[in-house]
Amino acid sequence: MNLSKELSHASDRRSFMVGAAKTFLGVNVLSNISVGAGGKERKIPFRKNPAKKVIYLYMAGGMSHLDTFDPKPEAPSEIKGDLSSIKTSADGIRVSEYLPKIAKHMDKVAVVNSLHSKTGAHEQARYLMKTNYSKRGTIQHPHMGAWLLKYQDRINQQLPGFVSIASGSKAPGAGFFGVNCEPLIIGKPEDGLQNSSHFHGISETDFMRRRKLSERIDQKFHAKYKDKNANAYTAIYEEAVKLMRSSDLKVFDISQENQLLRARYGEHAFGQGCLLARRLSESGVRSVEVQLGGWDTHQDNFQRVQSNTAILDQALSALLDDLNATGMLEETLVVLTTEFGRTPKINQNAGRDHYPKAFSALLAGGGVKGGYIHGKTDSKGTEPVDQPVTIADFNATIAYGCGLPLDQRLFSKNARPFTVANHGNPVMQLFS
Amino acid sequence: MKNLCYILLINLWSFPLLKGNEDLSVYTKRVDSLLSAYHKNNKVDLNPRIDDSVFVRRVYLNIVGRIPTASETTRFINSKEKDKRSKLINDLISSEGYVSHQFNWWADILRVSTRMQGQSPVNGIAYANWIKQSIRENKSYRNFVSDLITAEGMIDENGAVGFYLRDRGMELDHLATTAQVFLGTQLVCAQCHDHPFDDWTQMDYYQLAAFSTPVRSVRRTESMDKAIQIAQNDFKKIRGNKGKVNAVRKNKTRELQRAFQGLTDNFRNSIVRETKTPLKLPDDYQYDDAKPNEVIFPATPFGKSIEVKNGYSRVEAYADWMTSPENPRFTKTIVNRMWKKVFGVGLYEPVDKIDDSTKPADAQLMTYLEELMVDLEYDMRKFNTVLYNTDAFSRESQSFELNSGENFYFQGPRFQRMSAEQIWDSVVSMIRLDIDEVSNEVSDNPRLEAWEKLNEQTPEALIKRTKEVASFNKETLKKMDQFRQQVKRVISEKKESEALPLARRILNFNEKATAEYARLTFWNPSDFTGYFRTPFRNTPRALVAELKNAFPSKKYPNIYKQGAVSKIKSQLGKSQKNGKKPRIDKKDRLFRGYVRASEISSPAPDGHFLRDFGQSDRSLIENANYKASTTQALSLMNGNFLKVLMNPNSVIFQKMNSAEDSDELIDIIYLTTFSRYPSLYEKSLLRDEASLSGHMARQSILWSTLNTQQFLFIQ
Repeated sequence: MNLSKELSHASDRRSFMVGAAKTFLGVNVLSNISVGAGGKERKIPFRKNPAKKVIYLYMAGGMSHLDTFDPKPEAPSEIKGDLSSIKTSADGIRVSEYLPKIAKHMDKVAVVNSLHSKTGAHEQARYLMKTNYSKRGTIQHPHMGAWLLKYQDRINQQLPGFVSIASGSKAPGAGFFGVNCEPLIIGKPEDGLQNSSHFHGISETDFMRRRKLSERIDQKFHAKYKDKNANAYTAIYEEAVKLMRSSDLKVFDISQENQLLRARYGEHAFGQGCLLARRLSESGVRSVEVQLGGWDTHQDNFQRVQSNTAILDQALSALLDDLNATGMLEETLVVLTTEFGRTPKINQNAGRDHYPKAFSALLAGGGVKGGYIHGKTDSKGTEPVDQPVTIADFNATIAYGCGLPLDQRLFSKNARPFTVANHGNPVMQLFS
Repeated sequence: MKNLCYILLINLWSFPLLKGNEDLSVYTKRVDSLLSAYHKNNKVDLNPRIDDSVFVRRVYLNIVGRIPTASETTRFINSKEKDKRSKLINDLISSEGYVSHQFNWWADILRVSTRMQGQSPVNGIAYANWIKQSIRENKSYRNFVSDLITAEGMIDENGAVGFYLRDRGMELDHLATTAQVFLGTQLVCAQCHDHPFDDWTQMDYYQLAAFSTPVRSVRRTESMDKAIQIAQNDFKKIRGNKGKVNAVRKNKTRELQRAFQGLTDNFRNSIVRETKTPLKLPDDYQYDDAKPNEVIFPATPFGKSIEVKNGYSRVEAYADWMTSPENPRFTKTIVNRMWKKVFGVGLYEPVDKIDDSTKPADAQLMTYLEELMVDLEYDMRKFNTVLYNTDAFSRESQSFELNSGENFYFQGPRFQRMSAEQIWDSVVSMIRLDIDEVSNEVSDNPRLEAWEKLNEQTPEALIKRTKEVASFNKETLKKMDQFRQQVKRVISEKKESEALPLARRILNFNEKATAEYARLTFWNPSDFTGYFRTPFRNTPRALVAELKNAFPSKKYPNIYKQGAVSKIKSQLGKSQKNGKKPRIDKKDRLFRGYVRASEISSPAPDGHFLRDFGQSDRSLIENANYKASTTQALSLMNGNFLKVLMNPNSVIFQKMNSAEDSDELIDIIYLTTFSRYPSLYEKSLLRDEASLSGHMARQSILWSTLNTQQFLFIQ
């Protein structure tokens, strides 16, 4: 925990104002976009105690809502299969029998069971979920994590503000916000931050002597070429060396945790990714994304959902355990979402196909109500029948939860206006 | 494992049109004099001339995308030939390195992706190879664009269809990117409403789109369409109640259409054809000139107006209009793009957003270059040769910020960081010598063979085969259901003794059914090379895996050793046992992956050196960036490639090893990384380091020169 470091930084409200000032004045981060006045006033007040950080767990491939957080124990077997549901620590909330550990945490979790969209293709739907905008060939929209970083500066200046773990190559990043909001990408959680230690066999003295030599070799060149981008390299080399020496560097190294704890998160990339996410979040990384793939269960749905939920159950319950124990959960919004649900009717290959008409997501921490279900699907999980939530609404909820201005328009390079949740309405009932 | 057979194209390549540049020097002189008039008008002069060292590094990086080796540098510097500079330009433009580097440029512009959604990587590679081959044979730019726009067929027979498959399912967006790339025109706003600050209306957009939106990724071949027509004639014979008969006929047609898809499942997302799909206005169309959902017919927004008669190809008319020298934006756009590639700044900026306010730096020069492009018949190599030979190109570079509102006068090229590909290819050139050798290996393509056989079938044969496939699908899926029940029963009743025989039955069935499905769909059953899929997909393996999980003690057959795959693998296994295992020596293993950026997947995977340094992720047109980031510094200081560089087999290591004394060592390193000899002062800086033990000295000095801005930037 780096509590002192965090305390030494401005309160969130203030840091937002700083961010906004930078935004309006075009200082620092906003070199290539310009800013307009707010849109139509919807009178959505800023949250008093917004979440400071987000841990965003993405279920890639389309998580079956029926077999996880929207079980239909009353439905006929061609819909529910052989799966039964279990009680949880929250009154009236049942989850799939595959999720026994998470069941014990449901008192801290809000479930949204009425998500729906019209996009049923993976890449487009994933892009929509993560950015709020339809995927176009002509512009790249920023990931929710990039929006957060855009409005609220880094908490810990020594570390990146947005880290994406095991999230594949098609993940949207900073979009038109540019490199400053780009996520630092970690491929394998156990590898940590690549290239952050000396080339083997090189002592610190050797390293510094070489650095010095490089600088001297370049002296004449620097004098001749006064170029902004070239000068940036002087700065980033300094920052890189600082990072190599930083005491925070070790937060990338999950081998520092004891074996028992690591095992509690699960011996797989997602579990270890959640552990890394927790460490980064503790040290003041605003936004961390971890992905769990394998949810595209067109064939043999139940067998595959079972192995995936086993991973999810272990990792998420360990994460919630730890965040809760340290009190971090209060300031950290944990999101679990996916691109769409799966067809209620089991197909000829014992699988389930893409189904955007109804699906589920979770929110926990950061002031979100625990033990609460929002929205409802019909008895077969075919469509929302109560309090439907669009993807934009869901993301507006995240944005509101983090205290972002929902109606402020930011402009891309070619002067097209965008807002953080594409005019979605936050689900206020989710907050206590 | 494959026995690659290489040929050295770099030496064999002959390029008849570019043997001497006597004819082209006239054009270069004309460009020089126009630039000089432009400078005079603006009261500026060319920058000072550069020496051979700066020239050789710049010209290698610009044309073949890598730094020259130490020997290439010294050979050039020591040459006494009078026209050695233009000779070098000619040699480089005629080499395979030019193909690789130009490909990187196009890959960024065309967003070439080898991982297109829902498609086998083979598709993206076929598209990339088509582009490389077009560059290699120096296809005229007009034909290049025209071939892309009119591309039809299966991607293995015509890689150009990748142009459409890249944006499969996003036909309207595809039009916007096409106009941006080839006409330098941004229409995207007009997709949803009249353009706010330009003349474009939404109607213009739809009319232009109507040319190319009928081009779709389809599931049926032309002969299948014919078969359907024949069948429909048969359906007409069905008699009865009028309303009912129509419904029956429709149903039967639809059934047949669907059945055909069973026959082309392994060509899914790989076939492109111009269909008859009409383009309709959106249902929220808000202007008075038409109604929502109205069908729109093609019309051009500028240039020659054209009419496409019914039954004629729209894309062909579109391509003719697009690539015509009379199209006011087509030639202008490519000329400006190429100018920018050479000088770092376009004659107007941005290159892909022509509007009423677009004014080239010098109108006369712009017009001349457009005429020249037409005169040279859109020959890219010739046009590049003219530009690289200009006086301005061999002048000192200068720093400039795009969009700064200031003018750039082309007194020399722009001072720039190398692109990600230039940095990577430069590193690779320090590791191995063979980076521009082209594999001559022609591998069998079972998909293409199956495609050809499919197209040889008569409509009658197709209908017959389709029925067979449909019943095969039905039967195998039923069988899968039975297996599924059996597996469930064996597991729930804990009948361990039945597990192994059942697993064997399932796998046997899988093997036979896969071969049968291959035969039915015209594939060679002994060669599936990775992307062949059956109607029952992965179910057999999943079921066996389930049994294996339930009763792990049994020794199950290897579930991945199946069908044709098992045949190939077992053959390999045999040859390994016989000691015939193809030997991969240590050096090859270490150097694996150290190939030109153009030969790596596009884009390179996340976290790859290329991505760290700003290679485009291919999501947007020209999305590469040249900005500094912390991960770049970490990579250059501590990255894995340093280990490979310092391997005794690397080009640079062997060269360093040949140094007789520390003076020569410093020379070699400077010649390699900076393409010049060190000054006396620089030698004195490095003398102490050079006197360290051999390995340490080499490592240290190389590290120190690589971690400089001098290395990363092109002077």
